[in-house]
Amino acid sequence: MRHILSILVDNEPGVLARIAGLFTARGFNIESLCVAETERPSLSKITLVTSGEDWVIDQIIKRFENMINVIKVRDFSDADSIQRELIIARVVPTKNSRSEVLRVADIFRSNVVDVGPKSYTLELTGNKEKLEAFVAILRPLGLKEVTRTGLISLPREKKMKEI
Amino acid sequence: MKKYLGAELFFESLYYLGIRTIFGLPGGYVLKVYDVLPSYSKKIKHILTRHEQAATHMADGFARASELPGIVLCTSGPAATNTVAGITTAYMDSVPVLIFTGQVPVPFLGSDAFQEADHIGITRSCTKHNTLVRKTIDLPKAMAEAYHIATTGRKGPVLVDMPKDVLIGESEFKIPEKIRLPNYEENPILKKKDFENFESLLNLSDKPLLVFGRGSCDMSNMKNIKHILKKFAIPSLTSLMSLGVLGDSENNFGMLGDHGSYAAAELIRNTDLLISIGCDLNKILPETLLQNKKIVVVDIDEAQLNYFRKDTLNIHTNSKFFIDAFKDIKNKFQFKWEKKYLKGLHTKNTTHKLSVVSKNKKAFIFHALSLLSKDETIICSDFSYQDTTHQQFFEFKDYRNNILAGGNGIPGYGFPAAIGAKFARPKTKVVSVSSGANFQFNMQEMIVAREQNLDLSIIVVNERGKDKNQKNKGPDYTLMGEAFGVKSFKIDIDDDIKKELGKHLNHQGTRLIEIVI
Repeated sequence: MRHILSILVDNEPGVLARIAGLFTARGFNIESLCVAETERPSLSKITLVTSGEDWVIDQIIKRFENMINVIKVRDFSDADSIQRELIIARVVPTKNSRSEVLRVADIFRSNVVDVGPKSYTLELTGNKEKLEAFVAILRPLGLKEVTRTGLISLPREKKMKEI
Repeated sequence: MKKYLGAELFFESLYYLGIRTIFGLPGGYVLKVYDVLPSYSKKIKHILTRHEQAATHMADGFARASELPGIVLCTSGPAATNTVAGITTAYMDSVPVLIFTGQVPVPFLGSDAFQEADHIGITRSCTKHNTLVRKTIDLPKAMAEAYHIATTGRKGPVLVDMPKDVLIGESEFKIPEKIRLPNYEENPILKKKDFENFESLLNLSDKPLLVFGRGSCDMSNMKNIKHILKKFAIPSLTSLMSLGVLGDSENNFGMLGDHGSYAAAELIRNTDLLISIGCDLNKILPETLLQNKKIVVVDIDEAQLNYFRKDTLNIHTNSKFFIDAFKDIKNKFQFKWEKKYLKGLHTKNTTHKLSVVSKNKKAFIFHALSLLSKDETIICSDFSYQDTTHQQFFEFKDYRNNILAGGNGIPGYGFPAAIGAKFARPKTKVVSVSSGANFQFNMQEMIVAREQNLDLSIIVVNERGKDKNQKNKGPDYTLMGEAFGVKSFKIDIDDDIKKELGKHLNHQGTRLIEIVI
């Protein structure tokens, strides 16, 4: 099953390696990973997506909780949560499809963040499905390069108490 | 305020933390520490070992025998990588060991400098915690935190990496009195509901069975366990790692496991409620043996829980809290263990034991030692799973006297651990028992035993001594001992072992006794 883990850690060198090490030890793949400072500069939040058997993930979470640098771990997979990801895509359209690219960008409410004589660079925020649809539509129009931030997530207010 | 060198801060902090003995070996990046050592030699005793792995085992043995943390000091690169085997051993058995390694100066970190290794990366998976100190002023705090982490909660080894420029830099001595680690939950409290559930399970049970693992081994627990066994008369088992925690109670039915006692197998079959306290039960018992039984697992480490069926009652707490609460239960239970049956089990246990002892030569040696050791004796042994776990044939009365590498099962552990144990409790008799093959892993440490003039008996079981083919014969351990300046004797297993061993056990100075089997 797919799991979204949100891990609050000390903002110190070596913490991420410690976390990632546990996945290596179990032979699990990390599908996406996003690390950034939180509202308190001494803390970082790691949002991590992985797949695996529930009981193994459960075990991994408990091992995280045993680590000195880990403050809190939450598993969002069952909870109703907001999930967002950002993508930056560079498209080099053929002469005929230049306007089509802009139309697609418009439909997806994507912004053009850079434009040159040959290319458009588009930015889009959304959940996984939306980004994948965006990429699929841009591909025949001359998609050259894509960068994604990886998933970030917060639970909805109602569900906060339960977690 | 007075300024100290980083190296001086190292010793000041150790002394402040109550540490009086360290094991170590000098080297390039910790030379400053060894420079200032003479001025601290009255406060802190440094034992020079001949190999860093042995130093770690000594610290480990020291910690197990005394329940104080064992300390290792060594340099970077090869020295630090040598300690990894010992650190893993301590980690697997939750032993508090602090490892202080030298490191290349901070600006050179990661440049493949001479004798550089990534200690933090290498030991990440075998330490409870590890940390790199970047500034001289931070050293005392890092050491105090390491001490706190190693000795509380589920204990374990902690590594502190000290770059050379930290050790030669100057700073004031500032050490926090109280350690604040926001997330670190050292003593998970016993939840009331969990204990009530346990009580009602116990109430419903006809034939409960207690299993005490290493996690229940604590000096304050020992008294309470005795009390519990006497008050409720519940038959109890130990694991290999916790032999001795039940003392000589009449409800002690021996060791659990593949090579465990006869009674253990019988009791597991007949019980309807298995209560495991601080024991890694899922590695010892296959789940098929536990069908139709209720299980209660108490562990301080949440990651050790939830291994069994879903209806298992998992209690996440310090064993101390659980045993304390258990002791104070006011209910009187009516268990259906028949006195006659239990008495019969004791007899069967003894018969089974004697039959193994008569067939198995190593078990025989442990049994003979047990008969010879009237006063307290620490037995440091190497693990050997070939035929049976021999340690159970020694009747331990205190779990601190049973020193062996359980989880890691590392060969060559027993002898250096015995040296460590002797430093921890100098007045207690210490015997190390190893097979020849295991002894060869760390036999260079005989020189340490001789230098320090330790009253130590080293028993080496030479399994190949009688092989007719000269090629197959191992080294002559008696000659080896003599070469190190240790008085050595050779005994044949067919001799009167009790008499011969008896001669050599009570003596001054180090002795090596080779038993040819």
